[in-house]
Amino acid sequence: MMMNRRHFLDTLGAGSLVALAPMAVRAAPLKRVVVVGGGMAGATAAKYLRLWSNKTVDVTLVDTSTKYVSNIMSNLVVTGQYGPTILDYGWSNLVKNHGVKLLNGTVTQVEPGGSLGAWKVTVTGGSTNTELYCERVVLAPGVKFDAVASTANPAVAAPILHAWEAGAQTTQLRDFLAAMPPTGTFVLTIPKAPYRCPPGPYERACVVADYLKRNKPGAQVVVLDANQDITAEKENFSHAFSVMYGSNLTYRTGRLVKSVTSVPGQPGGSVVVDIVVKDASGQDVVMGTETYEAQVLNVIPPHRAGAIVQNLGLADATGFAPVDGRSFESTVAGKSGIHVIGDASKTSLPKAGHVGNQGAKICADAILRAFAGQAPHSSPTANSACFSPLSNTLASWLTAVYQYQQDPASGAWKYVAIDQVSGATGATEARAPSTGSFSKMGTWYRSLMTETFS
Amino acid sequence: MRTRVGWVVLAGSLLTQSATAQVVNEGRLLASGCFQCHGTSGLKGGFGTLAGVSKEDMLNKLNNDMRSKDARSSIMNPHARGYTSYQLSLIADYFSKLPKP
Repeated sequence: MMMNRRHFLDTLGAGSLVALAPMAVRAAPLKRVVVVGGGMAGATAAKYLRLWSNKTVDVTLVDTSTKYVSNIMSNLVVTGQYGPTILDYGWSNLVKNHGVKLLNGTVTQVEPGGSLGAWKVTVTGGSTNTELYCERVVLAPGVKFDAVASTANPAVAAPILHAWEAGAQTTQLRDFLAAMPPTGTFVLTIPKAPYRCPPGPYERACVVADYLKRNKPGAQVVVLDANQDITAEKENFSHAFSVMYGSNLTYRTGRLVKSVTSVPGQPGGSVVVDIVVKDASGQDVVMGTETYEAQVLNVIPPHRAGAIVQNLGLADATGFAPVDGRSFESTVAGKSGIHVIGDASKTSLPKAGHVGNQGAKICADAILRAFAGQAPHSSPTANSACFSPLSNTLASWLTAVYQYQQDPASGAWKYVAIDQVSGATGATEARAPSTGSFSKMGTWYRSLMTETFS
Repeated sequence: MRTRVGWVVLAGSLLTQSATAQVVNEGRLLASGCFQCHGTSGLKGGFGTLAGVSKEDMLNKLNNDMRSKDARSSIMNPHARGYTSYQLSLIADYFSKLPKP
């Protein structure tokens, strides 16, 4: 498929093609987009670039995998409530319904494309390289996890079971949990924000504690949070930790992972944490260290934008890619026409699947406007809606509408969640968990995945 | 107020486009925030079809059943409260013009 297009281009002659030629001069300028990464954000971008252009934009979606495994709902696979196949999605419906071109491989380079296009994307798959020329690149690589030092030798990275990118680690953690000794301890560590899915770690703590309460009543959950407080759905998770799981869950804030003792394929280990508190001026002060022994050790390391974003120099010191919030186009000099969406981008939006889907539509809309010679929408809105299970029957929800607006004090533009009626800022959480919300969670999940992958 | 000025400017720029240029619907991007739960273009979602719902009915529901209610009592309430009245009318207008399933 790719070869055919190259051949076609070669036949025409490179000299006759000028990237981004003004519409007044060329009747049909090329409108080609390569989307790298087919997760919640990338799949949505590919779909909407086709749907909203009436299939006039050529879209190739590149992914290293042959399927997408959903992070959403994966905590209920860890507890065995659902089988792992509920997480499996693919791109065949995007191909069938929207004419997205699919390419399996790893993007190794994105560089100026000369006379053949604004950008040249090199994809390595097996023994062959494919070169894709395009006017816009959308990077949606998700995150990569930072190495965690081994306690015995800090120069060596410890093997980590995070299960924070669903797949083989999800079922491994499930199996370790199921095989945990009846009086064992499950230790979960949470990195400093920003991380993928703000309520996710607390949700995992709850459903694991619920599982243990029902299956191993002598077992314990210990949650070591690098943050100074619960970062999302504070009321519901506080209630769950203190009331629902008051007897088998211990929650500690300001615990920053220093090192880990672990063996690949083994469930147990230990983790050394700094005890960090804030002094009066808001500075972090280390008060000492603690060591926690675990029969199942689940460390969620800090993470940053996926490798391609790092390799192309699109990330800043935070590890994520600064972008123009109106278009998700990189703000790094010399990288115009490259957009970074989803968890890899640096905005004030939370890193989560539902939000990644909406950010991708904002990006797609901005690219289509650019192809039509228009500026992006000046003040787009994004939103977030998610349900979090707190047990095998109860769930809460968290939601927000984000307006892209200018901060009057700093002049900076960012996405801000505001209740337009009360003026209150921040996301809104359910008054209380309920079985009704647990049921709606399934509907929400299926709707969101259908909207993203078909 | 600032937001409203932005819309007017954008609406003006739309009028200057040629007929063959990419048509960008102002309500579409806003309304697309509903698609995750209510389906692409308001169809086939798990929480009810929005395509073809009259503007009056949708605004009545958004304003009287959701926007004026306690934010934490239903997940739709914070959504209805998170958009300006003008944005809600653009969203309702967009869905009302989509064909009914």
